[in-house]
Amino acid sequence: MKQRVFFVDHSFHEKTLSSTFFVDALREEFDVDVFYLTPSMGIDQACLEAAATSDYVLLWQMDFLAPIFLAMGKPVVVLPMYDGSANQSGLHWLAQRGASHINFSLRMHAYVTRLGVRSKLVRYYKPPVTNSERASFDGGLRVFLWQRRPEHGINVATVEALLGEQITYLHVHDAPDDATVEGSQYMLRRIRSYDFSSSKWFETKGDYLETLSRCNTFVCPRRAEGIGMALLESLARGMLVLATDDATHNEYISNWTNGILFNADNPSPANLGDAAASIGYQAWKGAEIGYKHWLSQLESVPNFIRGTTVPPVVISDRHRLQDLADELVGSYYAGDTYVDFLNVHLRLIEQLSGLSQGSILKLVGCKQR
Amino acid sequence: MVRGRLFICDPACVQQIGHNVHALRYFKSALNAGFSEVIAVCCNSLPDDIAKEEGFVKHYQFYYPEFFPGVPTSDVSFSYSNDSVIIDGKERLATQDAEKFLQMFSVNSHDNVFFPHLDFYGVVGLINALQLRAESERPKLYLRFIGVMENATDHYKFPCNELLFRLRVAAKRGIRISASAETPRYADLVAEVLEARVAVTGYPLTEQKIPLPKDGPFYFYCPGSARPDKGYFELLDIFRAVRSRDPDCNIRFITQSLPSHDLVNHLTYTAQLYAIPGVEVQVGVVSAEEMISTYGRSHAVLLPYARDIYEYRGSAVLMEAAAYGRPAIAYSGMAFSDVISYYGLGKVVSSQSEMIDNIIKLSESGRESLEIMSSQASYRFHADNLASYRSWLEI
Repeated sequence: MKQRVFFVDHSFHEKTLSSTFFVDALREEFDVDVFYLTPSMGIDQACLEAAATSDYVLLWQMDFLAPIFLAMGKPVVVLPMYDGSANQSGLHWLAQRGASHINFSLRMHAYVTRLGVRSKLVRYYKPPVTNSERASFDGGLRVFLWQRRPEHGINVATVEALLGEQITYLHVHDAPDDATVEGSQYMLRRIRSYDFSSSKWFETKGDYLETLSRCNTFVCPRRAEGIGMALLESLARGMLVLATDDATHNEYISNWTNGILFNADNPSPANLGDAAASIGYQAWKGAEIGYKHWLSQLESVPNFIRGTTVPPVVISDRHRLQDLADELVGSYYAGDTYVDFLNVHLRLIEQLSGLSQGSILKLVGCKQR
Repeated sequence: MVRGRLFICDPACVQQIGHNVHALRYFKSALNAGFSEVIAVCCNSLPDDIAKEEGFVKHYQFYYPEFFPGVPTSDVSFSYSNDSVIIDGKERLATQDAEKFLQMFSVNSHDNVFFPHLDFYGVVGLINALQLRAESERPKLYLRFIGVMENATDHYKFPCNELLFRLRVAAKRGIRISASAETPRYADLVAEVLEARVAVTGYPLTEQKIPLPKDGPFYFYCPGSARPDKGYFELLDIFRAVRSRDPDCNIRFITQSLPSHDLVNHLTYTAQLYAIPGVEVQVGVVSAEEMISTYGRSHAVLLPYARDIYEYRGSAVLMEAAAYGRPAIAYSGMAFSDVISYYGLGKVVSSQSEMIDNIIKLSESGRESLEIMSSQASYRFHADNLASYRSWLEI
């Protein structure tokens, strides 16, 4: 009989399906029960019950929840994302020191291993297209830009600053993450020599891919990523990828080898000459090698999960757990109060991390503010 | 001829990382046949389970916490001594340890004490203790210089010179000392200072040839810890240059990353290595099994080590590569470059651009002829190394 995994994910991913590739892989080895957490709803008794009857709790991006399940005495595996958790305090990580981590980012892996967390570094790639399906660079640069975060400086003006008159076609998918942002104000063109089209919505993923396939250049839509599914799709297609110089982009792109890294605050021209095709080819080769490597890494994931330590039960009373969960979720989504929560619960962190208060403060430097 | 007991002493054998435990194990097994009994003596901070499994005797206090972060230490004071002769607190501890060692094993003149990669305090402590003992209670000392822990003190500006001076004085006072060094150049230097003949003894790995992968990309492995003196910060330029000349990724690279406490300080650099297509960055600490398995899928090793640091030193990685039948590419000017050239253990180059050219060139070699040449070089090296140990240790 397969062991049971209780997989907790953010409700946003129910729509984007960005964790599906991992859940599908887990299902080869485990019975997986997926719970999508809606921040405003928090964790309820049914969720705690489901966790209690599972063999392992896996937290996709929801790393801050680890103390709840560790306190229950469940083996916890955390999959933190760079874009959401890179700036978390040392106490945040020490509160989940009893969990195992699977990190998709080298930086995240480095941060947590320094604090003594058991971590496995992996790197996901999408399967590459065939050689004949690779992006062609005949006829100049045909650029795809998804304006997810135009207000963060990744918009038409940036693309024009980077590529200028090398652009022969630009498609802008004007669908900002923040619905209050008016995307059209970021679509003003300074250069008129290229063809232009735009979209606001794709009915199907096929429609998106069809539009993408008309392009050979992809501008990554956000400053940082947890994994970067759109980045991986474009690498797998052998496109010329331009991305900000931050993780996880710069853990996939070696500047001017298999992509271009830029500074969104001060984008400087990338005069590619004949280099675009060779950079695109390297992107595709990297995806080909990386995808094989990912498959081999994936084989070792189940045993890594099984090797997670079973922590001692720190809180057995379900009502106390519920109270702690309410307080934790509330403080986390309230912003600054999360640091206060961690400071107030230093004794709990001692119990969960197996470290004395002195060791904790030594590791994090000082009391967290 | 089987002689008296051999004590193989390594006060710095303290943790299961890199060659630390493996080296003592190798020496223990390699020299087992030549003596009536072989006893390996390590630091008392080595975890009990490892010491038990390896059959090591835990004895020495830990003198080197600054070189091994993360090793638990007992509450030992390293404060300077008031003693007029022994002014260094660590030396006092090491001398006490040596006295206890000599008493505990009732060491006598038929015994032999071997430091396979000697450390400053371990040796200084022992010669201090021996000078107070009668000739009949003085074993013969075999000291192997590898250019690492003989400098492990901040008390002297030139620690190895101080050590050599003391050894010369000890020899004049009747302590029997025989030395070897890991490289010919280092052996000649020690011989000149000690005014004695000094053998050349490499790492005593015997041939354990792993077949070279016949198909697929050509893999270069950069084994061992990713340290600046081992050329870690040259790798980005080398890998990127090769990648631009080999866009099809027929050449691949595998390197270890930095240990976690260093990695956080060099993340940008490491991420750039990690991002190059066809480069595999392993975690900072890998198991011996994983290392051997990586040798198994590699075709050659890359050693862009620093000339100044390795002016006299050898390389355990080169010895491993020779044992597994993998050629190396390294810079000229290092002590082990001469060993590579003489035995044909790889290619010695004078510059980074020449290293890049030779990476391309070596990757284009026929795999079968590469295997034959590596095997020949390995045979020549190991035959000489074994003979040198036998001659030096009189076994």
